[in-house]
Amino acid sequence: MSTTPTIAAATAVTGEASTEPVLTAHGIEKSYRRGVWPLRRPRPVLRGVDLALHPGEVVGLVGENGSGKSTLMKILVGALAADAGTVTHHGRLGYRPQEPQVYGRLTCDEHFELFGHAYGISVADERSARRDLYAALGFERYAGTRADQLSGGTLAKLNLGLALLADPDLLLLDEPYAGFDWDTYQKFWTLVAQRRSAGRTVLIISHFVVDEDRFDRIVEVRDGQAVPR
Amino acid sequence: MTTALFVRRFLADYARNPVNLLVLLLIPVVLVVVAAPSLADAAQLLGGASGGPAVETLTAGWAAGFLAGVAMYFQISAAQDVDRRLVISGLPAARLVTARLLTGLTLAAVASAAALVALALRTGIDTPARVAAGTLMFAAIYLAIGAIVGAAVRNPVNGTVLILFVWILDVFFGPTLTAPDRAATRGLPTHFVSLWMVDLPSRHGGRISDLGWALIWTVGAVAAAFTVVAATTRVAQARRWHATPGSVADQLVGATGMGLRDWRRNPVLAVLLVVVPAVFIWLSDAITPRGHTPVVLAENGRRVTEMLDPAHIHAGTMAPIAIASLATLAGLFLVLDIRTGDQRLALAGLRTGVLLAARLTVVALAALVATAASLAVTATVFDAHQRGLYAAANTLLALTYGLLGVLIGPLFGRVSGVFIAFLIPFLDIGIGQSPMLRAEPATWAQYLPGYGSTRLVMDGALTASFDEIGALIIALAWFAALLVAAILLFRRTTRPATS
Repeated sequence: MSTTPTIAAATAVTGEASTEPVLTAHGIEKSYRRGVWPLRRPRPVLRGVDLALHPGEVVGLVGENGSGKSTLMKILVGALAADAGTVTHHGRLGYRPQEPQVYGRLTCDEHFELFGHAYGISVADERSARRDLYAALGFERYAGTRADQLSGGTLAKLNLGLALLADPDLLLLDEPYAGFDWDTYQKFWTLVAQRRSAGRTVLIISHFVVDEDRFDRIVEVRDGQAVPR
Repeated sequence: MTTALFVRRFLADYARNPVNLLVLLLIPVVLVVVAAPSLADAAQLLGGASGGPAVETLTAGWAAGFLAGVAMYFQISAAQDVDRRLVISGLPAARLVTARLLTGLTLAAVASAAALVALALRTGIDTPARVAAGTLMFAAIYLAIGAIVGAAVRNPVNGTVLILFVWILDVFFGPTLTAPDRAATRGLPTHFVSLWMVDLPSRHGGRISDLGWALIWTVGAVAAAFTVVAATTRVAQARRWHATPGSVADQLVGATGMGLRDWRRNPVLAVLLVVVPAVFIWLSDAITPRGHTPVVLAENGRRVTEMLDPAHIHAGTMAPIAIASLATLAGLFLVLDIRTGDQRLALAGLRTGVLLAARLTVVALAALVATAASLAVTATVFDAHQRGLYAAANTLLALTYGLLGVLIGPLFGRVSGVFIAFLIPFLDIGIGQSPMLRAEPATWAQYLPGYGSTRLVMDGALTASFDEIGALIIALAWFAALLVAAILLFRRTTRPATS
């Protein structure tokens, strides 16, 4: 298990090392097996990633295509098992997968209701949060529309909204604004800023160079390691 | 005391509409005095059970039923908003509904009396107590039908048309206008009441007897009406019961409810539910020529080979094929489409066990609906010797194959899964277990999942007593094994990874 203190150095730079991390990952390793049996060979993607996220910071996760960003995020949220290493986190976690994992025949309202049960929040809180998210992202008129009848952009809003519903302490968003128009893109960053000021932690996979100024710090996945950028 | 007051007021409200009183007089006169002779002639033409006199007697019941149904419909539908206002004002919903039903029963008694007077004047009544009791049962059953339609259909044109439609079906396909022993018409509301009222034994009432069935219909219909009307009159509660957010009960209710909605919006399953039983069962019945085929059955603990008419048994042996196919497809579609959503839901905090329970509940319900639809179609052309065992065995088969469908989805994917979902029931039930092809299943077929259940189905369909303990154990073992496999696969594909 790797113990490379790459992220510790980065957090020291941001002045947040003194606070307790909400998420800590140590020595994350992951390989995918490629090729046809019996010639299947493991191809390492992550080779001992260390990462710590602190309250109130917005962190960008960047890297080349195929570098392992989404794999790392899936491991952090528990969607994928690591070959080695540990992940610990405190508080509620919200995850926005790259592909919208939704139920095609259920409406936006029904998705929020269902995920409210999953998060364990009260009906009143769920309704209130749902209204706020519709207003913030501008898709209230699609509340009763089935997911399989939504446009790509509106589906992306629903996908993001489900991650934000319970106002989680830790938000992990995989390319959250893909498919957004400019106006929604701006609204998204307003939501992120609100989360940051409320002490929430946000980790965002991004490809946009223009976003760099919006992050408190940026972590790059390079050669299977997470390094500060 | 309050209930009696409401009954009086409701009756006054009814009587102050002169049209109601006119109808109360007109219907018995038209049906019992004017139309009865023509209906008696029609009964003789259509091969009715008893010919003219019985039909003339029954017109009293028909008239009372029609009057009670329509009167109750208008009582419930027209006053629904005011009734709710009464409940909002503090009147318990149960007391209000009781008052409504007592009003209806009073009207039913008046309608019955009017019809009986008309009958007595026209032909006289040989057995007054029996005919009066039968007429009252007619009225009570239609009172319930009117109440249920009134609670569900607000438009008066639609409501009366619906009641009239049920009444016409009931009368013109009833046992006295057509043959009394048709399986398809035994479920009509007043089938047993009609036969008992004119003292014609149905010969299919069993131990319960025709009178027993008639009373079950009457009491059951009124109880159902009470429940439906009470449910629609109750004031929406601001504080309904809610489970603790995030608890097992809360998540189970939420996930199951959404699973049911998802199922309801899958049109393919709904179409298959109609098409598969109709095509499989009715076609098999229609195309099978008469003849003799050997079938090995268990009777009194030993195996016997009986020569049976394939034209007679084919529909009954085809039902499990339809049921297994439908249940497999239901299991496949209901779980396959939602797998990625389930993974995300589990990540958001929904317990994997709860999610699995919710998914299996929906699959089980779909399997039960498939069974009910297929058995309903089968009942029109085939009569099982042991109906309870036949239905239970088909249900066990449906649940078993529903689980098989749950397994097929993740293992084979959508397109291959559909082929497999048709292929396995076809090979297992349609070929391996079918008594139409072999007297008893070949050795290889005894290792397939449908073997035990199908032997139970045959035992229920074609023999008079239960003799298949071994088959029951095999069927339950298959069900348990597939359940364990489905749980393991679901956990593997849905449970969040831990590192």
